[in-house]
Amino acid sequence: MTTRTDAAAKADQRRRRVPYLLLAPGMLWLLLFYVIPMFGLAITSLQEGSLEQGYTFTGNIGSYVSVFTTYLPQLRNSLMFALGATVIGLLVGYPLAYAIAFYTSRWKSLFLLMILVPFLVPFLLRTLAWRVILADQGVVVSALKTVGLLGENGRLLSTGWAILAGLVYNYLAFMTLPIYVSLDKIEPSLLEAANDLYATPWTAFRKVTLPMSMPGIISGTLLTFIPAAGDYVNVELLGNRNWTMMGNVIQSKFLVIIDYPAAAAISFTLMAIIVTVVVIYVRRVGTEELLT
Amino acid sequence: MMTPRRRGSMDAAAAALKSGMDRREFLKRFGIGGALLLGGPALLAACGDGSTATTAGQAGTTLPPDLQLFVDNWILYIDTTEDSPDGTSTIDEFEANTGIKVTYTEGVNSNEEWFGKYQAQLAADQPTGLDIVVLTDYMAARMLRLGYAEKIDKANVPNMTNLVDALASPSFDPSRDFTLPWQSGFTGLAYDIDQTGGALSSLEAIKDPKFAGKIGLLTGYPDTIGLLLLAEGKDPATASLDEMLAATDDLAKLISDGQIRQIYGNDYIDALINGDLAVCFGWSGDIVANQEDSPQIQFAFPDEGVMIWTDNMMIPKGAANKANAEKWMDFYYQPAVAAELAYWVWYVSPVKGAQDAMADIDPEFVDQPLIFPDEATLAKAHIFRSLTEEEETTLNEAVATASGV
Repeated sequence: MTTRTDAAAKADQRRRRVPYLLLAPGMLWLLLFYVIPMFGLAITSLQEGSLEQGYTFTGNIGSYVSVFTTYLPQLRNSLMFALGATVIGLLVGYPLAYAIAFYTSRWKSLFLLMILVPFLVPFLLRTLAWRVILADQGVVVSALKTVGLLGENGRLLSTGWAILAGLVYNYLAFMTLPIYVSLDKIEPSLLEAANDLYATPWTAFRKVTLPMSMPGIISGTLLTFIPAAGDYVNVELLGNRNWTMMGNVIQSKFLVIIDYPAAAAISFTLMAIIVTVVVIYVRRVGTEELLT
Repeated sequence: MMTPRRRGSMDAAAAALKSGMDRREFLKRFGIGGALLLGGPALLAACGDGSTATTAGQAGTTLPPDLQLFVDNWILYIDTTEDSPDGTSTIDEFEANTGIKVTYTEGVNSNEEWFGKYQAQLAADQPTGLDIVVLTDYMAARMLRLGYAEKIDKANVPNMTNLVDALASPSFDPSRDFTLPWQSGFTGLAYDIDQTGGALSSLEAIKDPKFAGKIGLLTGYPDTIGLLLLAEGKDPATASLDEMLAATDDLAKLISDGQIRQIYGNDYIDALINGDLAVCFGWSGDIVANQEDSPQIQFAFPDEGVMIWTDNMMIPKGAANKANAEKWMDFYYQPAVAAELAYWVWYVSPVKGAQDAMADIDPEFVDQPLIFPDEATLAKAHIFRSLTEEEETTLNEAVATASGV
């Protein structure tokens, strides 16, 4: 009798340990490669000095101020491009995910594969490919010139439009796939029920499909907005110097000017701003609309 | 920063290089398409680690440690192929002569990026795993200011006496105790004659509204600010910091006026070849090496002057195979080897006697002014003076602000 309770207690104990064991690798990973470096970054951001003279901790917050005194245009560009890429991504990605989920029964895997295939090519090569597509002598530019949408001396590459196009393209799969997953889970019988209750297709979409795909929309928009706001590659490869984003400033501070405190402070500020935007968004859209 | 570099990571391109193509043929075959995929400075900056070959420290572990050498250089800056003019690459010859196994990497994608990658190790007195690195003057100067290079034992480099007089005493290393030039080159005006409709010879071209949005500049300040100073009639070898800062104002104005399409690294050449640029600042060897396939691209020594720069070999602090690194330097300062190298890379050889040795490889190249510049050419060439740390930071910040970052 006693042995049995002992064994049961032990098994119980072991079971209670399971979640911690499962969490351990992830937590350890985050601690080593995220929390500790972030701590280092925070200290760096409050230092002063130069590479050759050495850096000393002075609690200087000047670098944080510079974001708002010097880099407001870049901050505005970051948020604007990220927002633009998210909205366009959603407008393109949602119908795409919808079509794949509901109209491609036999070819579903093929279509999903087609969305994923470009992502087997490295990010940089994909972006570089856009340089060819949007080149001055390329087909897109000559087509737009023919229909009069671009002037004789107009161009796409090295403009804000090219940055936006690059951002939308680079994050489209991250928008489409989560939406697809949430749409695919919707029981067809729910839509039939809506139909039976005299809902028009539009009402059925608004009352059933859209709310049920909200988790996918939220994931998709976050997976697009967050990396897009920190992006600098698209500006570097597709844009020009009148449209630089915060990521470009950070890169320049780290690599060219070697002002580590400023780079760290700007990184933190950008992170804080993105987190704020995301929290507001998730609280508003995430809770209210999910429940209506 | 200043070499004819394309990323060598594509298999096809790498195979082509291995299977017997010299650089000119390589560029001809892979010129636009290949370069578009391979090229890109931001690409490098973006990957952080741009090195395409084995990381130093991993290879050759079975060899006795004293028979190894780890060299880190710019892409396509050596005749790594088997069919260099005489059938073997200079690396093969070096290995055969010395018995040293060379691990040659093309990890220097930009001076700034290389420095950013190794700075922490150098500062912490940890070995970088490299025995030789090749950096441009201004970055070499920074490395020396920080004490990040080993002193060269000149007794091990007797051929150092072949260094051309003009490069014997740069201000950052007056008696070449720490550095030795690899190659030099010119930064001048590059243009697409189909778009300009004629030859250009003045730097004023970058202010011409006719070319608005079709003009490219370079990321490194010695290139772009150097030429902008020349455009203002100032000599970058002696210009004051204030004059340099005034040139960054010119830069800011050119950008806000929409004259400048973009500021490029290695990839300016692709934009020039495919017609996105009409006029840009460019590096001599790049343009000439690509002309065979893209005859419309031209290189001009501007009337106002041309910038000359040098990429320097140095031994990073704590290098494990310093003596082997010195053997490498000595080997490449033999005139015949230097000629072979210059023939392949199209840049200025810093080695006396290489011109005579070139006659054995290709007599046509003996009088090629881009490899062996004559007095008249050199008279137009200006160096960018070395800056103090403070000056460099101020200038870098001003250039960044002008460039929107």
